[in-house]
Amino acid sequence: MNKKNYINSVEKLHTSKDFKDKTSKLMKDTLNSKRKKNPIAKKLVLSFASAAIIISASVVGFNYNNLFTSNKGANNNLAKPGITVAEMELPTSTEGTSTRMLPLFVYKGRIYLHYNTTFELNNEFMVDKEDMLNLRGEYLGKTIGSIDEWSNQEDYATEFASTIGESDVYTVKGYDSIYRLMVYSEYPDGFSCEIYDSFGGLTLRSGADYFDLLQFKDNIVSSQWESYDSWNNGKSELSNATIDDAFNEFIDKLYTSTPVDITTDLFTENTDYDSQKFIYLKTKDNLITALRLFKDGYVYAPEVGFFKMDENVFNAFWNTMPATNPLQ
Amino acid sequence: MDYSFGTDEYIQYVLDKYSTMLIKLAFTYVKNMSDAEDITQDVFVSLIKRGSCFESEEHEKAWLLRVTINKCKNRLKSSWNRLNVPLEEDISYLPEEESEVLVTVLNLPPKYRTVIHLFYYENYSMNEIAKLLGKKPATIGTWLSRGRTILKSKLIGGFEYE
Repeated sequence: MNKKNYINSVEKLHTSKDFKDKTSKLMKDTLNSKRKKNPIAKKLVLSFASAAIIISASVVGFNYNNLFTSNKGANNNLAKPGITVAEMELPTSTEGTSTRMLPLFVYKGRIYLHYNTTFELNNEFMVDKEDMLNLRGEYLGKTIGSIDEWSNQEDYATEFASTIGESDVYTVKGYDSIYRLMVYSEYPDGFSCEIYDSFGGLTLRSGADYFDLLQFKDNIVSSQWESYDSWNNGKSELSNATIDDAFNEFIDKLYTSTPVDITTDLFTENTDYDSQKFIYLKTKDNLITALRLFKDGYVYAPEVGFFKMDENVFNAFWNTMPATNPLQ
Repeated sequence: MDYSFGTDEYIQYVLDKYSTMLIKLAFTYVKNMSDAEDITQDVFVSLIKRGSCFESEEHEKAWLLRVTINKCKNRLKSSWNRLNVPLEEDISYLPEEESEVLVTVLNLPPKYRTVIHLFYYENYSMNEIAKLLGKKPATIGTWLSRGRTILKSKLIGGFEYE
Protein backbone atom coordinates (compact mmCIF):
# COMPACT_ATOMS: atom_id res chain seq x y z
CA MET A 1 0.00 0.00 0.00
CA ASN A 2 1.60 3.24 -1.13
CA LYS A 3 0.44 5.48 1.68
CA LYS A 4 1.85 3.00 4.15
CA ASN A 5 5.09 2.79 2.15
CA TYR A 6 5.47 6.56 2.26
CA ILE A 7 4.91 6.67 6.00
CA ASN A 8 7.33 3.81 6.55
CA SER A 9 10.00 5.37 4.35
CA VAL A 10 9.83 8.69 6.18
CA GLU A 11 9.80 6.90 9.54
CA LYS A 12 13.01 5.10 8.64
CA LEU A 13 15.02 8.13 7.52
CA HIS A 14 18.17 8.38 9.58
CA THR A 15 18.64 11.46 11.69
CA SER A 16 21.87 12.37 13.45
CA LYS A 17 22.24 10.75 16.82
CA ASP A 18 23.66 13.91 18.34
CA PHE A 19 21.10 16.29 16.82
CA LYS A 20 19.31 16.88 20.10
CA ASP A 21 22.51 17.34 22.08
CA LYS A 22 23.92 19.83 19.58
CA THR A 23 20.65 21.71 19.27
CA SER A 24 20.11 21.75 23.01
CA LYS A 25 23.53 23.34 23.47
CA LEU A 26 22.82 25.89 20.77
CA MET A 27 19.46 26.78 22.31
CA LYS A 28 21.02 27.22 25.73
CA ASP A 29 23.82 29.35 24.29
CA THR A 30 21.24 31.49 22.52
CA LEU A 31 19.25 31.83 25.68
CA ASN A 32 22.29 32.83 27.68
CA SER A 33 23.42 35.41 25.15
CA LYS A 34 19.86 36.76 25.02
CA ARG A 35 19.77 37.09 28.78
CA LYS A 36 22.90 39.19 28.67
CA LYS A 37 20.79 41.61 26.61
CA ASN A 38 23.76 43.00 24.83
CA PRO A 39 23.33 42.59 21.10
CA ILE A 40 23.31 46.29 20.45
CA ALA A 41 24.69 47.83 23.59
CA LYS A 42 27.79 45.71 23.44
CA LYS A 43 29.76 47.45 20.76
CA LEU A 44 32.64 45.63 19.27
CA VAL A 45 35.43 47.94 18.37
CA LEU A 46 36.71 46.58 15.14
CA SER A 47 39.67 47.73 13.22
CA PHE A 48 39.02 49.03 9.74
CA ALA A 49 42.25 47.59 8.58
CA SER A 50 40.95 44.19 9.40
CA ALA A 51 39.35 42.40 6.53
CA ALA A 52 37.73 40.12 8.97
CA ILE A 53 34.22 38.89 9.33
CA ILE A 54 32.16 37.76 12.25
CA ILE A 55 30.22 34.80 11.06
CA SER A 56 28.24 33.22 13.80
CA ALA A 57 24.70 32.24 14.48
CA SER A 58 24.35 35.29 16.66
CA VAL A 59 24.62 37.61 13.69
CA VAL A 60 22.71 35.62 11.13
CA GLY A 61 19.44 36.83 9.80
CA PHE A 62 17.20 39.82 10.03
CA ASN A 63 16.53 38.89 13.59
CA TYR A 64 18.25 40.41 16.50
CA ASN A 65 21.64 41.79 15.82
CA ASN A 66 23.34 44.15 13.50
CA LEU A 67 25.20 42.18 10.95
CA PHE A 68 27.75 44.90 11.00
CA THR A 69 28.47 46.71 14.19
CA SER A 70 28.76 50.42 13.79
CA ASN A 71 31.66 52.08 15.48
CA LYS A 72 32.56 55.64 16.05
CA GLY A 73 36.04 55.56 14.74
CA ALA A 74 38.70 58.10 13.98
CA ASN A 75 36.40 59.88 11.56
CA ASN A 76 34.05 60.77 14.32
CA ASN A 77 35.06 64.30 15.14
CA LEU A 78 33.29 67.63 15.19
CA ALA A 79 34.24 68.48 11.65
CA LYS A 80 33.04 65.19 10.23
CA PRO A 81 30.50 63.63 12.55
CA GLY A 82 29.15 60.28 11.57
CA ILE A 83 29.08 56.60 12.16
CA THR A 84 31.26 54.27 10.20
CA VAL A 85 29.99 50.85 9.29
CA ALA A 86 32.49 48.38 10.64
CA GLU A 87 34.09 45.68 8.63
CA MET A 88 33.30 42.15 9.67
CA GLU A 89 35.52 39.79 11.53
CA LEU A 90 36.18 36.10 11.31
CA PRO A 91 35.69 34.06 14.43
CA THR A 92 38.98 33.41 16.12
CA SER A 93 37.98 29.82 16.54
CA THR A 94 35.17 27.63 15.38
CA GLU A 95 32.73 26.85 18.10
CA GLY A 96 30.94 23.85 16.74
CA THR A 97 27.30 24.49 16.05
CA SER A 98 27.47 28.22 16.72
CA THR A 99 29.59 28.83 13.66
CA ARG A 100 27.71 29.32 10.44
CA MET A 101 28.77 30.30 6.98
CA LEU A 102 27.14 33.10 5.07
CA PRO A 103 27.02 33.55 1.32
CA LEU A 104 29.92 35.86 0.53
CA PHE A 105 32.91 36.49 -1.67
CA VAL A 106 36.00 38.69 -1.65
CA TYR A 107 36.76 41.24 -4.36
CA LYS A 108 39.42 43.94 -4.31
CA GLY A 109 39.87 43.51 -0.59
CA ARG A 110 36.20 43.96 0.20
CA ILE A 111 33.81 41.30 1.37
CA TYR A 112 30.48 41.15 -0.42
CA LEU A 113 27.56 39.48 1.27
CA HIS A 114 24.16 38.38 0.01
CA TYR A 115 21.88 39.65 2.69
CA ASN A 116 19.19 42.29 2.61
CA THR A 117 18.40 43.05 -1.03
CA THR A 118 16.96 40.37 -3.26
CA PHE A 119 15.38 40.10 -6.67
CA GLU A 120 11.62 39.82 -6.76
CA LEU A 121 10.83 36.19 -7.55
CA ASN A 122 8.16 35.02 -9.93
CA ASN A 123 5.55 32.32 -9.28
CA GLU A 124 8.17 29.61 -9.72
CA PHE A 125 10.37 31.30 -7.11
CA MET A 126 12.79 32.25 -9.85
CA VAL A 127 14.29 35.54 -10.95
CA ASP A 128 12.87 36.84 -14.24
CA LYS A 129 15.50 36.75 -16.95
CA GLU A 130 14.57 40.24 -18.10
CA ASP A 131 15.18 41.64 -14.62
CA MET A 132 18.55 39.96 -14.51
CA LEU A 133 19.57 41.21 -17.96
CA ASN A 134 18.46 44.75 -17.14
CA LEU A 135 20.84 44.86 -14.19
CA ARG A 136 23.74 42.66 -15.22
CA GLY A 137 26.69 44.87 -16.05
CA GLU A 138 30.36 44.28 -16.66
CA TYR A 139 31.89 40.85 -16.06
CA LEU A 140 34.49 40.98 -13.31
CA GLY A 141 35.54 37.39 -12.78
CA LYS A 142 34.61 34.08 -11.25
CA THR A 143 34.40 33.19 -7.60
CA ILE A 144 36.21 30.19 -6.22
CA GLY A 145 34.66 28.12 -3.48
CA SER A 146 37.63 28.30 -1.18
CA ILE A 147 36.10 29.40 2.10
CA ASP A 148 34.53 27.04 4.55
CA GLU A 149 34.00 26.76 8.28
CA TRP A 150 37.66 25.99 8.78
CA SER A 151 39.11 28.83 6.76
CA ASN A 152 41.46 31.29 8.34
CA GLN A 153 41.97 34.96 7.53
CA GLU A 154 44.55 34.14 4.87
CA ASP A 155 41.89 32.29 2.91
CA TYR A 156 39.81 35.45 2.89
CA ALA A 157 42.65 37.48 1.43
CA THR A 158 42.43 35.63 -1.89
CA GLU A 159 40.69 37.46 -4.72
CA PHE A 160 37.28 35.94 -5.45
CA ALA A 161 37.53 33.60 -2.49
CA SER A 162 33.98 32.65 -1.62
CA THR A 163 31.59 30.43 0.22
CA ILE A 164 29.38 30.09 -2.86
CA GLY A 165 31.30 27.79 -5.12
CA GLU A 166 32.02 28.89 -8.67
CA SER A 167 29.85 31.74 -9.95
CA ASP A 168 30.34 34.69 -12.25
CA VAL A 169 30.56 38.16 -10.73
CA TYR A 170 29.21 41.22 -12.53
CA THR A 171 28.70 44.86 -11.73
CA VAL A 172 25.10 45.96 -11.28
CA LYS A 173 23.95 48.61 -13.72
CA GLY A 174 23.03 51.82 -11.96
CA TYR A 175 24.71 50.93 -8.68
CA ASP A 176 28.15 51.74 -7.32
CA SER A 177 30.27 48.64 -7.76
CA ILE A 178 32.22 49.44 -4.63
CA TYR A 179 29.12 48.62 -2.63
CA ARG A 180 27.02 46.33 -4.81
CA LEU A 181 27.77 43.47 -7.21
CA MET A 182 25.82 40.63 -8.80
CA VAL A 183 26.56 36.94 -8.73
CA TYR A 184 25.25 34.94 -11.67
CA SER A 185 25.39 31.27 -12.45
CA GLU A 186 23.79 28.97 -14.97
CA TYR A 187 22.65 25.44 -14.45
CA PRO A 188 20.90 22.95 -16.76
CA ASP A 189 17.35 24.20 -16.13
CA GLY A 190 18.01 27.90 -15.83
CA PHE A 191 20.06 30.43 -13.94
CA SER A 192 20.34 32.12 -10.60
CA CYS A 193 21.48 35.59 -9.75
CA GLU A 194 21.76 37.43 -6.49
CA ILE A 195 22.75 40.80 -5.20
CA TYR A 196 25.81 41.06 -2.97
CA ASP A 197 26.57 44.16 -0.92
CA SER A 198 29.59 45.47 0.92
CA PHE A 199 29.04 48.47 3.16
CA GLY A 200 31.94 47.94 5.54
CA GLY A 201 33.91 51.14 5.93
CA LEU A 202 31.07 53.38 4.74
CA THR A 203 30.80 56.52 6.85
CA LEU A 204 27.23 57.61 7.48
CA ARG A 205 26.61 61.26 8.24
CA SER A 206 22.98 61.16 7.18
CA GLY A 207 20.56 58.62 5.76
CA ALA A 208 21.45 59.82 2.28
CA ASP A 209 24.89 58.26 2.60
CA TYR A 210 23.26 54.84 2.66
CA PHE A 211 19.88 55.19 0.96
CA ASP A 212 21.38 56.94 -2.07
CA LEU A 213 23.39 53.79 -2.68
CA LEU A 214 20.16 51.80 -2.75
CA GLN A 215 18.59 54.21 -5.26
CA PHE A 216 15.41 54.73 -3.25
CA LYS A 217 14.65 58.30 -4.30
CA ASP A 218 11.84 58.49 -6.89
CA ASN A 219 12.52 54.85 -7.64
CA ILE A 220 10.20 52.84 -5.39
CA VAL A 221 7.27 51.31 -7.20
CA SER A 222 5.65 49.30 -4.44
CA SER A 223 5.95 48.42 -0.83
CA GLN A 224 4.69 45.69 1.43
CA TRP A 225 4.64 45.59 5.19
CA GLU A 226 4.45 42.94 7.85
CA SER A 227 3.44 43.23 11.47
CA TYR A 228 5.70 42.18 14.29
CA ASP A 229 3.30 39.35 15.15
CA SER A 230 3.44 38.00 11.62
CA TRP A 231 7.20 38.28 11.43
CA ASN A 232 7.77 36.86 14.89
CA ASN A 233 5.51 33.90 14.27
CA GLY A 234 6.70 33.19 10.76
CA LYS A 235 3.23 33.83 9.32
CA SER A 236 4.47 35.77 6.27
CA GLU A 237 1.32 37.90 6.31
CA LEU A 238 2.38 40.70 4.02
CA SER A 239 0.08 43.60 3.13
CA ASN A 240 0.48 46.07 0.33
CA ALA A 241 1.35 49.56 1.49
CA THR A 242 -0.20 52.50 -0.25
CA ILE A 243 2.23 54.75 -2.08
CA ASP A 244 0.76 58.02 -0.88
CA ASP A 245 1.98 61.29 0.58
CA ALA A 246 2.79 59.68 3.92
CA PHE A 247 4.89 57.04 2.20
CA ASN A 248 6.69 59.49 -0.07
CA GLU A 249 7.45 61.80 2.79
CA PHE A 250 8.77 58.87 4.79
CA ILE A 251 11.17 58.00 1.99
CA ASP A 252 12.23 61.64 1.67
CA LYS A 253 12.97 61.87 5.37
CA LEU A 254 14.98 58.68 5.29
CA TYR A 255 17.55 60.72 3.42
CA THR A 256 17.80 63.35 6.16
CA SER A 257 17.58 60.85 9.01
CA THR A 258 20.44 60.64 11.48
CA PRO A 259 22.54 57.50 11.86
CA VAL A 260 22.54 56.61 15.53
CA ASP A 261 24.60 54.39 17.72
CA ILE A 262 21.80 52.90 19.79
CA THR A 263 22.65 52.27 23.42
CA THR A 264 19.41 50.57 24.35
CA ASP A 265 18.30 47.23 23.13
CA LEU A 266 15.44 48.07 20.82
CA PHE A 267 15.15 44.49 19.67
CA THR A 268 14.28 42.94 22.99
CA GLU A 269 12.54 45.97 24.47
CA ASN A 270 10.04 46.21 21.63
CA THR A 271 8.14 42.95 21.57
CA ASP A 272 4.63 44.36 21.82
CA TYR A 273 2.53 43.47 18.76
CA ASP A 274 2.65 47.05 17.46
CA SER A 275 6.14 48.06 18.50
CA GLN A 276 7.87 47.03 15.28
CA LYS A 277 6.95 46.80 11.63
CA PHE A 278 8.81 45.42 8.64
CA ILE A 279 8.66 47.05 5.23
CA TYR A 280 9.78 45.57 1.94
CA LEU A 281 10.52 48.21 -0.67
CA LYS A 282 10.58 47.30 -4.34
CA THR A 283 12.45 49.57 -6.71
CA LYS A 284 11.83 49.91 -10.45
CA ASP A 285 14.44 47.29 -11.19
CA ASN A 286 12.47 44.73 -9.13
CA LEU A 287 14.94 44.59 -6.29
CA ILE A 288 13.42 44.29 -2.84
CA THR A 289 15.06 45.71 0.27
CA ALA A 290 13.81 45.16 3.79
CA LEU A 291 13.79 47.75 6.55
CA ARG A 292 12.73 47.24 10.14
CA LEU A 293 10.88 50.04 11.88
CA PHE A 294 10.73 50.59 15.62
CA LYS A 295 8.15 52.86 17.20
CA ASP A 296 9.29 56.38 18.06
CA GLY A 297 11.05 56.93 14.79
CA TYR A 298 13.83 54.38 14.45
CA VAL A 299 14.63 52.70 11.14
CA TYR A 300 16.91 49.71 11.16
CA ALA A 301 18.84 48.72 8.06
CA PRO A 302 20.50 45.44 9.03
CA GLU A 303 23.56 45.98 6.89
CA VAL A 304 24.47 49.32 8.45
CA GLY A 305 22.47 50.00 11.61
CA PHE A 306 19.91 52.44 12.98
CA PHE A 307 18.63 55.76 11.72
CA LYS A 308 16.50 58.19 13.72
CA MET A 309 14.07 60.18 11.67
CA ASP A 310 11.50 62.93 11.99
CA GLU A 311 8.91 61.45 14.34
CA ASN A 312 5.90 63.21 12.83
CA VAL A 313 6.67 61.89 9.38
CA PHE A 314 7.56 58.49 10.76
CA ASN A 315 4.34 58.25 12.78
CA ALA A 316 2.19 59.35 9.85
CA PHE A 317 3.61 56.50 7.79
CA TRP A 318 3.50 54.07 10.71
CA ASN A 319 -0.21 54.77 11.18
CA THR A 320 -0.96 53.73 7.61
CA MET A 321 -0.01 50.17 8.63
CA PRO A 322 -2.47 49.21 11.38
CA ALA A 323 -1.41 46.05 13.20
CA THR A 324 -4.03 43.87 14.86
CA ASN A 325 -3.56 42.66 18.38
CA PRO A 326 -3.40 38.87 17.99
CA LEU A 327 -4.76 38.36 21.50
CA GLN A 328 -8.01 40.16 20.81
CA MET B 1 3.42 20.69 29.11
CA ASP B 2 4.28 22.07 32.54
CA TYR B 3 7.80 23.27 31.98
CA SER B 4 8.68 26.94 32.20
CA PHE B 5 9.98 28.52 29.04
CA GLY B 6 13.73 28.43 28.69
CA THR B 7 14.46 25.83 31.35
CA ASP B 8 16.58 22.80 30.54
CA GLU B 9 13.44 20.69 30.92
CA TYR B 10 11.57 22.85 28.43
CA ILE B 11 14.38 22.60 25.88
CA GLN B 12 14.52 18.83 26.28
CA TYR B 13 10.74 18.62 26.00
CA VAL B 14 10.48 20.55 22.72
CA LEU B 15 13.42 18.66 21.24
CA ASP B 16 11.97 15.28 22.18
CA LYS B 17 8.51 16.20 20.99
CA TYR B 18 9.21 18.01 17.73
CA SER B 19 12.73 17.28 16.40
CA THR B 20 11.85 14.29 14.27
CA MET B 21 8.67 15.82 12.92
CA LEU B 22 10.37 19.04 11.85
CA ILE B 23 13.45 17.36 10.39
CA LYS B 24 11.27 15.15 8.25
CA LEU B 25 9.10 18.01 7.10
CA ALA B 26 12.22 19.98 6.18
CA PHE B 27 13.57 16.94 4.40
CA THR B 28 10.60 16.94 2.04
CA TYR B 29 11.70 20.42 0.95
CA VAL B 30 15.48 20.23 0.86
CA LYS B 31 15.81 16.50 0.16
CA ASN B 32 18.81 15.84 2.32
CA MET B 33 18.99 15.23 6.02
CA SER B 34 21.98 17.44 6.65
CA ASP B 35 20.18 20.57 5.45
CA ALA B 36 16.96 19.42 7.06
CA GLU B 37 18.67 19.18 10.43
CA ASP B 38 20.36 22.52 9.89
CA ILE B 39 17.04 24.20 9.21
CA THR B 40 15.39 22.50 12.17
CA GLN B 41 18.17 23.73 14.39
CA ASP B 42 17.45 27.26 13.17
CA VAL B 43 13.79 26.78 13.98
CA PHE B 44 14.55 25.82 17.56
CA VAL B 45 16.86 28.79 17.93
CA SER B 46 14.05 31.02 16.62
CA LEU B 47 11.80 29.47 19.22
CA ILE B 48 14.20 30.46 21.97
CA LYS B 49 14.59 33.96 20.54
CA ARG B 50 10.82 34.28 20.48
CA GLY B 51 11.06 34.39 24.23
CA SER B 52 7.75 33.02 25.47
CA CYS B 53 5.55 29.95 25.69
CA PHE B 54 2.52 29.34 23.51
CA GLU B 55 -1.09 29.37 24.60
CA SER B 56 -1.51 25.74 23.67
CA GLU B 57 0.31 22.76 22.24
CA GLU B 58 -1.63 23.14 19.00
CA HIS B 59 -0.39 26.71 18.65
CA GLU B 60 3.14 25.62 19.49
CA LYS B 61 3.12 22.82 16.93
CA ALA B 62 1.57 24.99 14.24
CA TRP B 63 4.14 27.74 14.86
CA LEU B 64 7.02 25.29 14.57
CA LEU B 65 5.67 23.77 11.36
CA ARG B 66 5.03 27.16 9.79
CA VAL B 67 8.44 28.52 10.67
CA THR B 68 10.06 25.34 9.36
CA ILE B 69 8.22 25.67 6.05
CA ASN B 70 9.17 29.34 5.73
CA LYS B 71 12.81 28.65 6.49
CA CYS B 72 12.85 25.86 3.92
CA LYS B 73 11.32 28.12 1.27
CA ASN B 74 13.82 30.84 2.03
CA ARG B 75 16.68 28.43 1.79
CA LEU B 76 15.53 27.07 -1.54
CA LYS B 77 15.37 30.57 -2.99
CA SER B 78 19.08 30.99 -2.63
CA SER B 79 21.39 29.62 -5.26
CA TRP B 80 24.09 29.69 -2.64
CA ASN B 81 22.25 26.96 -0.86
CA ARG B 82 21.63 25.09 -4.07
CA LEU B 83 25.32 25.13 -4.68
CA ASN B 84 25.94 23.84 -1.21
CA VAL B 85 23.47 20.98 -1.31
CA PRO B 86 25.40 17.82 -0.58
CA LEU B 87 24.94 14.60 -2.45
CA GLU B 88 21.46 13.16 -2.67
CA GLU B 89 20.46 11.38 0.50
CA ASP B 90 21.43 7.75 0.53
CA ILE B 91 18.20 5.84 1.03
CA SER B 92 19.49 2.53 -0.22
CA TYR B 93 18.69 1.01 3.14
CA LEU B 94 14.97 1.37 2.44
CA PRO B 95 13.01 -1.47 0.85
CA GLU B 96 12.50 -0.83 -2.85
CA GLU B 97 8.75 -0.26 -2.64
CA GLU B 98 9.26 2.34 0.08
CA SER B 99 12.13 4.16 -1.56
CA GLU B 100 10.19 4.28 -4.83
CA VAL B 101 7.28 6.07 -3.19
CA LEU B 102 9.55 8.40 -1.23
CA VAL B 103 11.53 9.40 -4.31
CA THR B 104 8.36 9.95 -6.30
CA VAL B 105 6.85 12.15 -3.60
CA LEU B 106 10.09 14.13 -3.32
CA ASN B 107 10.00 14.73 -7.07
CA LEU B 108 6.59 16.36 -6.88
CA PRO B 109 6.42 20.14 -7.16
CA PRO B 110 7.04 21.57 -3.66
CA LYS B 111 3.48 22.67 -2.94
CA TYR B 112 2.03 19.25 -3.75
CA ARG B 113 4.82 17.53 -1.88
CA THR B 114 4.19 19.51 1.31
CA VAL B 115 0.48 18.90 1.24
CA ILE B 116 0.97 15.17 0.63
CA HIS B 117 3.41 15.00 3.53
CA LEU B 118 1.27 16.95 5.98
CA PHE B 119 -1.87 15.07 5.01
CA TYR B 120 -0.54 11.52 4.96
CA TYR B 121 2.39 11.60 7.33
CA GLU B 122 1.30 14.21 9.87
CA ASN B 123 -2.40 13.42 9.54
CA TYR B 124 -3.41 17.05 9.22
CA SER B 125 -6.81 17.81 7.75
CA MET B 126 -7.13 19.96 4.66
CA ASN B 127 -8.48 22.83 6.78
CA GLU B 128 -5.52 22.60 9.13
CA ILE B 129 -3.05 22.53 6.26
CA ALA B 130 -4.79 25.51 4.71
CA LYS B 131 -4.33 27.43 7.94
CA LEU B 132 -0.70 26.40 8.23
CA LEU B 133 0.15 27.41 4.68
CA GLY B 134 -2.05 30.48 4.57
CA LYS B 135 -4.11 29.14 1.67
CA LYS B 136 -7.78 28.44 1.10
CA PRO B 137 -8.94 24.89 1.91
CA ALA B 138 -10.12 24.55 -1.68
CA THR B 139 -6.59 25.31 -2.90
CA ILE B 140 -5.19 22.65 -0.60
CA GLY B 141 -7.79 20.22 -1.91
CA THR B 142 -6.71 20.95 -5.45
CA TRP B 143 -3.03 20.51 -4.63
CA LEU B 144 -3.71 17.26 -2.82
CA SER B 145 -5.73 15.97 -5.73
CA ARG B 146 -3.11 16.96 -8.29
CA GLY B 147 -0.37 15.48 -6.16
CA ARG B 148 -2.23 12.19 -5.96
CA THR B 149 -2.85 12.21 -9.71
CA ILE B 150 0.85 12.68 -10.44
CA LEU B 151 1.76 9.94 -7.98
CA LYS B 152 -0.72 7.58 -9.59
CA SER B 153 0.77 8.20 -12.99
CA LYS B 154 4.37 7.81 -11.84
CA LEU B 155 4.14 4.82 -9.55
CA ILE B 156 3.88 1.30 -10.79
CA GLY B 157 0.46 0.15 -9.68
CA GLY B 158 -0.71 3.69 -8.97
CA PHE B 159 -0.97 5.35 -5.58
CA GLU B 160 -3.36 3.95 -3.03
CA TYR B 161 -4.07 6.65 -0.55
CA GLU B 162 -6.90 5.40 1.60
